[in-house]
Amino acid sequence: MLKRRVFHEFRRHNRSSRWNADAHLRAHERSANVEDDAIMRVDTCQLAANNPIEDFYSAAKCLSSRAFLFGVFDGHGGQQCSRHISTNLYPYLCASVLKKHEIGNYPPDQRLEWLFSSSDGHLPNAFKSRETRNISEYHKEFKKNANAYTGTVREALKLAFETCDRDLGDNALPNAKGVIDRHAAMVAASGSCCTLAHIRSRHLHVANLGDAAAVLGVVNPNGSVTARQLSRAHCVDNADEVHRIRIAHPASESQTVLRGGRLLGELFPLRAFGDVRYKWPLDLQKVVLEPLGHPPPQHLYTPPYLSTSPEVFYHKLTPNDRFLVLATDGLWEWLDPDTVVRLVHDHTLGTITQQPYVPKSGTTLRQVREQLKERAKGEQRTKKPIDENCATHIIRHALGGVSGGATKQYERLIDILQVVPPGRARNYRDDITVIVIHFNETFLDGHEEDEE
Amino acid sequence: MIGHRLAKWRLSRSYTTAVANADVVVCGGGISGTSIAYHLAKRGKKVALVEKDSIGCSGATGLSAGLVSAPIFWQDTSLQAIAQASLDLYSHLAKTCKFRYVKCGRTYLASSMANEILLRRMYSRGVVHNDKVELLDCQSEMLERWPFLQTEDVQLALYSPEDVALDPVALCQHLALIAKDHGALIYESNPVLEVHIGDEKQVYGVSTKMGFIETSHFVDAAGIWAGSHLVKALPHQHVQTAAYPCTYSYIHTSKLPTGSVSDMTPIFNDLDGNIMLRTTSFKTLCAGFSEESIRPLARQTGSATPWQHPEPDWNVFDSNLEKLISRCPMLGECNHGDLIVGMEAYTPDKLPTIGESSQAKGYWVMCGMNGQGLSLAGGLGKVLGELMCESQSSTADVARVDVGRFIDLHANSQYLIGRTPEVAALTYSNLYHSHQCHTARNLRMAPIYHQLRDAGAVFGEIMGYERPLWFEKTAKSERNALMSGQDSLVGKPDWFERVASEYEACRERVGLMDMSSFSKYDITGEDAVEYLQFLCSANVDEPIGTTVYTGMQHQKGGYVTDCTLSRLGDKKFFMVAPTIQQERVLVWMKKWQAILKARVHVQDVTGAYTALDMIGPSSRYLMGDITGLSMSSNDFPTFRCQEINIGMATGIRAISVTHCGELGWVIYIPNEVAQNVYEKILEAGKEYSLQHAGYYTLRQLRIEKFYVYWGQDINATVTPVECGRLFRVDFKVRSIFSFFMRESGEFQKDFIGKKALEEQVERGVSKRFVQLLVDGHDKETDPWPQGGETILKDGRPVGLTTSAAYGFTLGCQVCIGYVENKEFGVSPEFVSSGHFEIDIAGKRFSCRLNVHSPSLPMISSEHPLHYRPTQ
Repeated sequence: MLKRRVFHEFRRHNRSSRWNADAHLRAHERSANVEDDAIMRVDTCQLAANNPIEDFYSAAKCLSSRAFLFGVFDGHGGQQCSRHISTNLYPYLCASVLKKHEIGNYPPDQRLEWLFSSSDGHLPNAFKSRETRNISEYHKEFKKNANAYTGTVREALKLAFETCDRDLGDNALPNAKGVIDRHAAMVAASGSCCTLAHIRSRHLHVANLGDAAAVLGVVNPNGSVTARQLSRAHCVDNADEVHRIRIAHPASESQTVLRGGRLLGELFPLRAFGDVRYKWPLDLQKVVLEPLGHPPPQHLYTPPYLSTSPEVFYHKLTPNDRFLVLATDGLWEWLDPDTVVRLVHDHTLGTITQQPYVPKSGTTLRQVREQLKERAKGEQRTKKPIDENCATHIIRHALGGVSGGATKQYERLIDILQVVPPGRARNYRDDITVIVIHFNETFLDGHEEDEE
Repeated sequence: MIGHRLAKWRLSRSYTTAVANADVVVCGGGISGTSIAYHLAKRGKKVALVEKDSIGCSGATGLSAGLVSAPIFWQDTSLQAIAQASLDLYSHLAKTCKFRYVKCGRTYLASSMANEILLRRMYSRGVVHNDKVELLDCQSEMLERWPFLQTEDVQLALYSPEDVALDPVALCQHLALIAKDHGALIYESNPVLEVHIGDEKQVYGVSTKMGFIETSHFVDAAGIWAGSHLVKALPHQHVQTAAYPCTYSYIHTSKLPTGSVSDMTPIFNDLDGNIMLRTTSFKTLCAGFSEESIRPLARQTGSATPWQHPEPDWNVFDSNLEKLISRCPMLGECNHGDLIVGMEAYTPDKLPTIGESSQAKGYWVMCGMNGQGLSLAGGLGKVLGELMCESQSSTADVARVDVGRFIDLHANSQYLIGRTPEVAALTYSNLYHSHQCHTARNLRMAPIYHQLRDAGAVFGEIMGYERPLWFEKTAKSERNALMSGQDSLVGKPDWFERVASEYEACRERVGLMDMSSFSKYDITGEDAVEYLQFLCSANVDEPIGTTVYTGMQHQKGGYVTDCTLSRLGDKKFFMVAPTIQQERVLVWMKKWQAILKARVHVQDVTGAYTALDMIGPSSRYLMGDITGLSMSSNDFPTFRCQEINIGMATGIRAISVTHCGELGWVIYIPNEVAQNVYEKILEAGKEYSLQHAGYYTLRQLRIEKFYVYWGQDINATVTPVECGRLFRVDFKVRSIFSFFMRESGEFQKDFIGKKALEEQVERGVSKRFVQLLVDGHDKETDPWPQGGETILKDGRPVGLTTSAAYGFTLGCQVCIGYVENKEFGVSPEFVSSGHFEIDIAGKRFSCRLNVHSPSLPMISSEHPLHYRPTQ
């Protein structure tokens, strides 16, 4: 009797903790059927480790160029900057549509159509009007800049990123009355990495700043899937980045500019929005930031140290390109691109990679055949993944592991989700944000009507 | 610390002083390694056998089921001879040594027409040597003999009594023991670390874990690790081999629950199901070879890596298991047993690889057994021993198994990964010359490939090169233009009507054929003439603009190759040789260049030219139109060469030899202008109803004219005297080069092989090539000759056919073959008297014999003076 109760209790507990884990994972998942041009569907999911979360994501469409914009933003030193960028970068991007890509006559402030975003976008009115002014100024400036306006998407993206960051910094400066906007200063003092995909028809640009990454899933003719990385992390592991920073500063600083794998011994990503502590000169920081409790970093001799110029990769989408995964570094700590791509591919096929069949002792060869047949049938029926959302599927496997079956996976998940509450979880894992963009194969297979 | 120093000192010492020296170091203690060690030791060589584990136990041999296929299985005569030598060796050993050796025989089952003919052909070649071979076509009789089989759908069964099941590990150990008795050194648990090569890439020693062994010959018989040994001086740091490891799987389970199986129960091979079953009184082995159950493995690096079983995968084996249980329902009641996944090295053409690598002197390979290691290694060891000690093998012709048949592309891992699983799936299939693989295709292509494809070409691969076999009449652009599988062995093949039409164009009008795959070389240099006089049996010192057809003989008079040599300049020759000779001939020429220290430069230019063959009476006018030159028989007779322009294109080499005995020209066009010239020819050819023709047409043309080809009819065991080409040999030729012959103790100033040929002329030959015209053959319903059919004189076997075609002018099947009379020689009377027959798949047909090329009547107005290839 007692045994049975213990068993029931155990089972109930087991079930409820599984349910909890699922709920926790799925709390911030979102799925959108776009079915427009090259985009079929978008799955996103987010899992917090910081409290409040510092990761943000958003997706929008630029009506003027019919380009889709997807971005993940990984904040550090507070959530203000990533939150700000996740909504305010997009107007700049919409304002920098190349002349040849302009469709219709949209004024710069009516070009943006939001698909979704993890931040609300509510801003103080005063702030908002300033933003609108900034944008229209930028738009004029962009149109005048013959080089950019008639140039390439790559240049336009760079200009938008840089201007957005410049305005973000300028907002934090004291106004004519010498008053500092506290909120704007907080935005400027914190920082954000960003990986942004710009998809216009079959032209994919990925602009990257910092250590988030974009990976394209390419299906080979033989059915296997390979990962193509469309971004490079801007951190100390990237020899080119290290070189770039070292030559930008005098040799006397060679000991201090990168210490312990960090910029000035403090900042891990080597490119980011915000973080004006690494951009502004010392005297300005003393006036604006120090009173707010942000002392300048040591060894600040020749700012700026931090760049906001994104690295832009171009890829022309083919019918073999099935999906694009954008994710913050929280994910890449757990999974390598190949595994992620395989997980997404298996998920879209509706299958789980199974453990190899091993016959139990005593089975005859005829029974082996029957069991194999059963398995093959079962594969079609029960192999449905637990999550419908592809991004959740990835996070589940990132934290629960890829091997060992569902039970083992739940064990690990419960371990990592329940025991450690958000906030303290930061010691074990980072915020994770994943966007999976599924491409429309038929569209990509079709003939190209717009050629550049 | 002291211990560390001591160890270091020992290590350095073991490298500086040799632990041993040997004539030959053999790496690998599997069946290949022990076999070659055995044969070399018996020949009195001082052999050191180095095995990284223990003899016979690791690698593919240790995991094999121990089944030996009898020679009857192979279509190719040299493989039959090799398999026979293996069987002879094992049965000899079984008499003196104690190991499990059961002559259980093997039964092949066929349930389709194609495989039925295959078995009938197998029977007719087997019954010549062994009258105990049986054919069964009665299902109830099969059931009575083997009651555990389901035989309802079996059309034909063939019982071969010679197949053997033995203990492979004990066999290897006995071979090694006997080698040891003959002075061989056996080192176990001693992996090879490095093979050292020195000046002129000559092997001088081998580093092993136990120390350095001084030697000038190294045999790499390391199975799936072959080619992985470190050779620092080579560009890839190891010798490249065209063998690649793949998995194969079989189930090892309990005895069938019946009293009707015993150790003498034959092995069963179901050809249609591609499965194999071996049942004994204590266990059952069942294997399946479906292509999806085989996967290529990563190339093994370093022989020190341990043998790791790949994970068994029941899912992929399921399709095999289904066929096994349906063939033997009782198997379903057996315990699941073990699914064993072994690894074996496979080659692109399912034939083993032996011989000296061209990458390093003294580095010999013996690998790529394709799942037939036990059946072949015994004989291959003998053949390789002969090659190493006497430079020629008397057991079998090695052209199909030597390393020289491969070029670089065959050793490319990506190519092998694509090809080898298909090859592994064909382990127990019989492949004929028309067989084409479906994997790893479209590798080498002519610049005009796509034009040819649009014109309807169906391609077949040779040395990685896609050449048109025939042209479809209405070609869909979406079609698969690559032929795969093989021609039907009975009745007209699919291409018959198309080839008939192409044949007619070549005989009466003009046909255009892509011949780009032929091997091409530029031979230049101060000594070019004298050097070639030494190598060739014909006189090549003819005026500039002459083309000479000649053989290159080895010391025993056999053909190393045949070729055409066109003299383009005083000291410049252009040589064209058969496609499959690309590497072998180059190695032969470079070898002699080094020996003679001749100042010549031999350059392989195969990939630089597109060759188009214009065949037929109208080719003369067509050539005249496109070149603007006179092509009359006075201005450009046959066997001439000239550099010409066609339209805007320059540097084209025109040679008035068509390789099939018709009037015509082959033009060798530099690749960059090939498309231009091709279009020009097509445009001008409209006037003459130019038609595309494929390789199959060339085949019918040349066989009908008794034009023997190297690699198909003749090879290194055939001399010009035997194949009616003595008129191409010039015994008067002298070269300034001389070579000291160790055997005779005198300097040789004549071309290589002259002495042997002269002796043969004096003595007469015991073997003669003939052309056979087959009577009473119904091309719609009878099995077609393929080459390899037995020739009978008055009911007694006297020879074999080597290739066959349909003679469209003669109106019958035409074969080329040889008749042999070992005791009394082949005299004219031998050929002209008696009743000759050939046996095609068990059916006998009367034949008429030709010893010279027949003259073939023509319908069109011009009757060119026919070149007669065989006189």
